[in-house]
Amino acid sequence: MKPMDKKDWEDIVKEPMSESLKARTMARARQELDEMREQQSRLHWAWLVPILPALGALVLFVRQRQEDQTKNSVLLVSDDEYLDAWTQLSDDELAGLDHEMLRDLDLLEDLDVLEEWDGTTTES
Amino acid sequence: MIFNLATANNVDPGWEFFPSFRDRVSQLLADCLVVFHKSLTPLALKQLTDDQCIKRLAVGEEDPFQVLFERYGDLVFGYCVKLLKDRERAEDASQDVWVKVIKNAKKYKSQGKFRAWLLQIARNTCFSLFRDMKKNRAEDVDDHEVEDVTQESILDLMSAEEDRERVKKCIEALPDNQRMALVVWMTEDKSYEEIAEQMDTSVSAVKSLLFRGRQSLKELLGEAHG
Repeated sequence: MKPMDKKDWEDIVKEPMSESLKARTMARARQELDEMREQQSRLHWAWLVPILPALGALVLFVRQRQEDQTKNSVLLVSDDEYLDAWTQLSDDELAGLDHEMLRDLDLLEDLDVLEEWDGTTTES
Repeated sequence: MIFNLATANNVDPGWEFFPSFRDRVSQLLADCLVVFHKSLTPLALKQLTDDQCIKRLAVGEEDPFQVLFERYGDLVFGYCVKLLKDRERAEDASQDVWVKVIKNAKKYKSQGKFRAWLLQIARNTCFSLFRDMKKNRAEDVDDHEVEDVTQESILDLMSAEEDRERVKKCIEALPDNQRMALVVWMTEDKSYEEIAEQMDTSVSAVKSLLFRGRQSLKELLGEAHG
């Protein structure tokens, strides 16, 4: 007679679960997991709250800096360079741009380019 | 700047010429990914170790829980039945055990010893329930000196071909304290000291319970044979 071993003992300890017990256990587990995930997602974003003002200030600072840089880069372009760009436009291209559109480009007004262009078109 | 304004209304002809074709291709790719994922996932999940499962369970994944539940569900439930000798209470207890597993998944640190960790949770749950039922106080514990019992001497009482259901009935017929000490000792390989601590008794009392449990099991198995 071969005696039992530990594997046989485990078979004795095991009891097959009924389908309803399996379903009930899974339902409870799902509920628990949902709560756990909800709690984790709350914790996941909670750290943002104390640093939100600092983040906002950083965003404003970066935007301001970008605006300044754009302005500076435009101002660095000389009058001659602007005039060169204008003179290189063909008549068709100039005709495609209406007066209003050009007025929106404030920088051109600063450089008196608009008036000069107005004069040439009037003459032609 | 001016040239950009002039060409602002031009549109890149690429995909925009074939919107329906693009949608169909992307839908097909998405479908393929879903089928691929579904066909691989069950296999990949079943190959996960217990430790990998519990790690993923700790971040709220459901699939690894299902894998662990399939692996150990019957063992946990059976262990609760053996300890409590009451199927209804064992059902409640085993559900509590699995909820505790989820709640404590983050605290799990016993690398490679998930089974032992799980059975410990089951044992603590059952003993706590048993204390509430106040059954263990009804039985006197005899702590007279007795000879040591080995696990082999208990396994030797039963042959490998023995009818499992008959053995189960004999175990369930043991007195509560003897049954609990014997089942914990045989299933979890715990030391006398640990069992004594769990049962709130002395080491010699545990030895006595195991000795008497073996005697009782032998008699019950003999009666069942007769």
